[in-house]
Amino acid sequence: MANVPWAEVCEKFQAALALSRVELHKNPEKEPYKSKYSARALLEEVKALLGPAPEDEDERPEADDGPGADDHALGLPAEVVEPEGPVGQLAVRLAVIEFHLGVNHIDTEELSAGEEHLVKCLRLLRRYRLSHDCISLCIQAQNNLGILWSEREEIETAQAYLESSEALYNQYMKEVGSPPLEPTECFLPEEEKLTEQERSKRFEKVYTHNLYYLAQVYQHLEMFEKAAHYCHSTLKRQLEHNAYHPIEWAINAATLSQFYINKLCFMEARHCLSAANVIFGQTGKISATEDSPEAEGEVPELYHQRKGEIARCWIKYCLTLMQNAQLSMQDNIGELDLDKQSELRALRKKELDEEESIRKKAVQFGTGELCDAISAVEEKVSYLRPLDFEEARELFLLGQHYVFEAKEFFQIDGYVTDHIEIVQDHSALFKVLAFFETDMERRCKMHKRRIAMLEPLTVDLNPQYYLLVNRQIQFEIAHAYYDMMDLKVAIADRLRDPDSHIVKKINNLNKSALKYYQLFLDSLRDPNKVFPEHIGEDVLRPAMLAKFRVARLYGKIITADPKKELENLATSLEHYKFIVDYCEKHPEAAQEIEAELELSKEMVSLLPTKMERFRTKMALT
Amino acid sequence: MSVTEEDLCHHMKVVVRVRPENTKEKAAGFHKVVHVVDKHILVFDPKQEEVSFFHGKKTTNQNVTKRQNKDLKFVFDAVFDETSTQSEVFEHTTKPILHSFLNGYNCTVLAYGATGAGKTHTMLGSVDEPGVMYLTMLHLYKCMDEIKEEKICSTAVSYLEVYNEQIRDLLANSGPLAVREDTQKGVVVHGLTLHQPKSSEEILHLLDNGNKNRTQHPTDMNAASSRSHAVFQIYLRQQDKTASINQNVRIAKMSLIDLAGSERASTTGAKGTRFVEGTNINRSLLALGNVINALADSKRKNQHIPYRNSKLTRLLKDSLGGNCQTIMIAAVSPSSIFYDDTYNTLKYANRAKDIKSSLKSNILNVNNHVTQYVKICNEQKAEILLLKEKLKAYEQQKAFANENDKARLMISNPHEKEIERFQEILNCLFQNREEIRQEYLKLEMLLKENELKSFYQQQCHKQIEMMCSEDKVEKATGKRDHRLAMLKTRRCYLEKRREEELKQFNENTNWLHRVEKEMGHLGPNGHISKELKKDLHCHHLHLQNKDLKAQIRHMIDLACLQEQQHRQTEA
Repeated sequence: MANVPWAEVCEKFQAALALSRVELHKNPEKEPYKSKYSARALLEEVKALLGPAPEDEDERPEADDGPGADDHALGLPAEVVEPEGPVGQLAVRLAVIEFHLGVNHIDTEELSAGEEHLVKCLRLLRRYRLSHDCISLCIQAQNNLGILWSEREEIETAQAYLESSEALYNQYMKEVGSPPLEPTECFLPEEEKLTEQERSKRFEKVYTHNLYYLAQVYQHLEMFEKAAHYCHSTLKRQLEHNAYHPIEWAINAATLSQFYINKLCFMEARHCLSAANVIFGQTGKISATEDSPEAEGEVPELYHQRKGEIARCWIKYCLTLMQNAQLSMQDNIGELDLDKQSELRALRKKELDEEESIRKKAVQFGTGELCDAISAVEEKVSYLRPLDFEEARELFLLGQHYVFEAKEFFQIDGYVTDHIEIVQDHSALFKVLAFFETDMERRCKMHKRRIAMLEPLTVDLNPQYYLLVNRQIQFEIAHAYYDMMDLKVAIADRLRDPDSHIVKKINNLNKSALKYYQLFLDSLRDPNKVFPEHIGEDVLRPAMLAKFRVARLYGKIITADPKKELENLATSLEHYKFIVDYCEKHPEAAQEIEAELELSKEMVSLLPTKMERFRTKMALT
Repeated sequence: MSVTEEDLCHHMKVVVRVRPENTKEKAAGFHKVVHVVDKHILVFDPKQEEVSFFHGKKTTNQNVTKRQNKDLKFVFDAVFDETSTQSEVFEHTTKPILHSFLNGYNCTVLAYGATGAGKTHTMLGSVDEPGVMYLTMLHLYKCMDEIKEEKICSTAVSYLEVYNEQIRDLLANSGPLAVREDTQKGVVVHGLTLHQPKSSEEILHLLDNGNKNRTQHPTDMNAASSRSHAVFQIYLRQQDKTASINQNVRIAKMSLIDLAGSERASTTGAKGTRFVEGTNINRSLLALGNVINALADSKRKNQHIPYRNSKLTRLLKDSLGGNCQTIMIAAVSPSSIFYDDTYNTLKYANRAKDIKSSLKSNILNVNNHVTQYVKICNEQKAEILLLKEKLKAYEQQKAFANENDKARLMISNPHEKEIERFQEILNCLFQNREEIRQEYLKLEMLLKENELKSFYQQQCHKQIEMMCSEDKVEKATGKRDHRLAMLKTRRCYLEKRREEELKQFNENTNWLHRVEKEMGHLGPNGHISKELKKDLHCHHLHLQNKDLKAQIRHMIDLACLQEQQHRQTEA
């Protein structure tokens, strides 16, 4: 070894590093890994120059690979051992080479070879794991092994490696704390060694990667809360170390908010979304962060798309918050329950008192100015469930604002499904706002708005390609008409003597609801226009519901002509019968629609007598 | 049409094809890790039965590195073993759905598996053994020929690849193409060329050409690994030949997809991703986005915005779910070199069987309507209650009517019905009257008895007074007084009762008068009809009769009492 010029070793190593960093797409098309293969060759040369690894007597017997054997190696070392003397130094150098060889093999899709090298690297470092020189390398090797195993879908093994890395980092920071050596430094001349600051930065980055990998692993283990926590931490650390791309970061934060929304943690969700807004606003201002030296140039398309996507996350936030409030305040028929409302009002004070403590518990993004900017956005939005129309209206307006923003990018022309989803959310916003509205006329108007925005969509859409979307919209419109009819009936009931005008209106709404339910049911027919004998389980419940509603709607048509009324009753009966017969033939359907089936059965037994009486009455008069 | 309905199962059909070992594998002496049991079952990594010369004494310490045999059983819609031919695979995969394709449904066939597992062979095949794509086209032409009497059919095909999130036309030299959604045409790839092959040779030629254009990058491990997804789409347009104003045009799309090696296809989906050092950190952050996506995804699908839609999923948006039929062909190699890949492929294929459930969730969001639903139920229940009451009333009336059915038959006249009603009333009235009368008479009798008893008491006392000594008289007087008091209170009570009965009787009389008057109204000019008169008279007589009878009975009772008294005093 001594006879090999050190300078040559260093040079070769640097060349190998440079080669391995060449981006893949710069390779010739027919040889995607050309640079990697040459880097590997150089590394092998360096390894040969360094000579064989020092024989370590107490390691021999345990020398075996395989995941099980590493278990005891993953435990934390009891004390800090620095690699001293030529033996120690050689071991560290060899470990660095093994590490790079391992990564190289993984990059070229040769997993088992890569695994071998990485395990060898760890074995060389075993005794010095917590040392100033080795800690970073050790964590990196373990991280790579973790990812390797997760790619083999042996997540538990991966988890063990990654958790050990995390523990190592924590122990090192507790016991040593000084920024450790970056592995490549072993092959750098003294004068080119990194500064303490740079070292710290790189080491922190290694830890960030560790968190990032852990997030992936926990997701695959379906430990979603833990995964979310690690995602959150990764994002936070990216901000702290200024290693982020604003658009990417913002979209990740916004998407994370959706996890919190589903978990009903609205404060965290609001925090993520506000941070996303703030960071997204930085786009263009900080174009070149440390990690993206070549600014990718303006990608207006992507920029606008991401903007729309963040807006959509906001819509979901407003919508879910309002729906959640509705859920907690409605009685069993879906109307506002005043008792529950006042109960929640009383709770509100307690919630406000607790705000501080919850805020402390949550992980906050950013410090200083950034933090202030985020809280400025946060202050404008409530994270508490709206309790009355005024509060609901504020959320609604915010949601609507984002609806318009999202629509700017997701236009019907080119983004049909996305556009429709946004419109559906808009409709849902109106619907939940209507819940808070006490004036029935105004409520009616809100439903009318919903219909006005949904109806044009059905006209344009190709019923074959957009079958599912069409069905959703038809159902939604039918339901909106249905609600309007109910409201109008309620209004008419209040009037002393309802005039023919309102009766006509009710009947018109009834007719429209019927039309859309019928459209929905017709969409289930096969190409030969035959109603399927067996309804697929995915549409079974909606189909049955539609049948049921149609039956009801026929029963509710107001008419002075007894003949027509009799006819309507007969049609109604027919639809009820369909439900009962279908459930008899397909018992599995019965459990999907228990309540409806029961009612239908009763109607089937009662309606004929009603019709009979009707007939006798008709005969008498 | 029963066949199609059967086939319209709404979940993904998954079949597995095991390719034969190639010469290299055979030579290297790798063992087989896949064992096909029958047409539906295969076992992965079966327990090796090494009953060899060592008499069961296995050399355990030799195989330290070797993993434990997994011995996993998988069940699929179909399993093809090494000996299966291309046409066999076609028969069981694409052919059954061709029928629904002709009916206007969108269909999708996916080939999935690791590089070198035989996907491309299955989908494309070679000149000697053409694959599913070619066989599909052939069969389609045959079907079209059969129905050409009734319908005008035309087909067109396109062939594209998705590589690095870029779409390229394989049948024409072009740059990257953009996907957009059109309200009428569904998902459209801008600038994609459509071809209308006339013959089977032409199809083969087209496919061959396209394949040459596919992006393949050899690595040390794989000499020919396709790194792109190839999508072959067949459009079928049918039109009824009968000329009419509203022409029935049916358009369907079939997508045959040769996915890139699963080890690449799924890196962003199922597995971990490293930061690639030296490249832009943000680019590798993709995986974090995926993680976050998956998090938000885990519960309520309808709430989530999947922002990282890949080009492939966008492309297939209208080809998955709904009335669309999807078949996945998972290709695996039996050799132990591909142990991991085969295992992953089988696991994925097994999961794919459940894909229906994930599609289901975004069809209709019915849960939103559940709350309104309670309202409907309540209303309906109220209606049912109302109807039930009406029904009950109706039935009662009917029962009542039945009773009088015979009478009603004879008396169809409303007047006579009235008479009947009055008769009924009279019946009731006189019954009441009789009861009152009886009670009254009884009370009268009891009063008489009471009087008589007190008289006897006094008489008896006088006798004692006359006959006995004074102190005895005093005692008897106390006794007599006591008895008299008792009788007196009893008398008071009886008198009160009598009063009440009298009142009731008067009321009854009033009622009777009223009824009589009403009956008068009924008859001609104020006279009670003969029939009713007779009835009334009859009732009166009956009452008198009863009265007399009761009186007689009471007289006898009193006489009995008197007789008793006499006997006592005489004795």
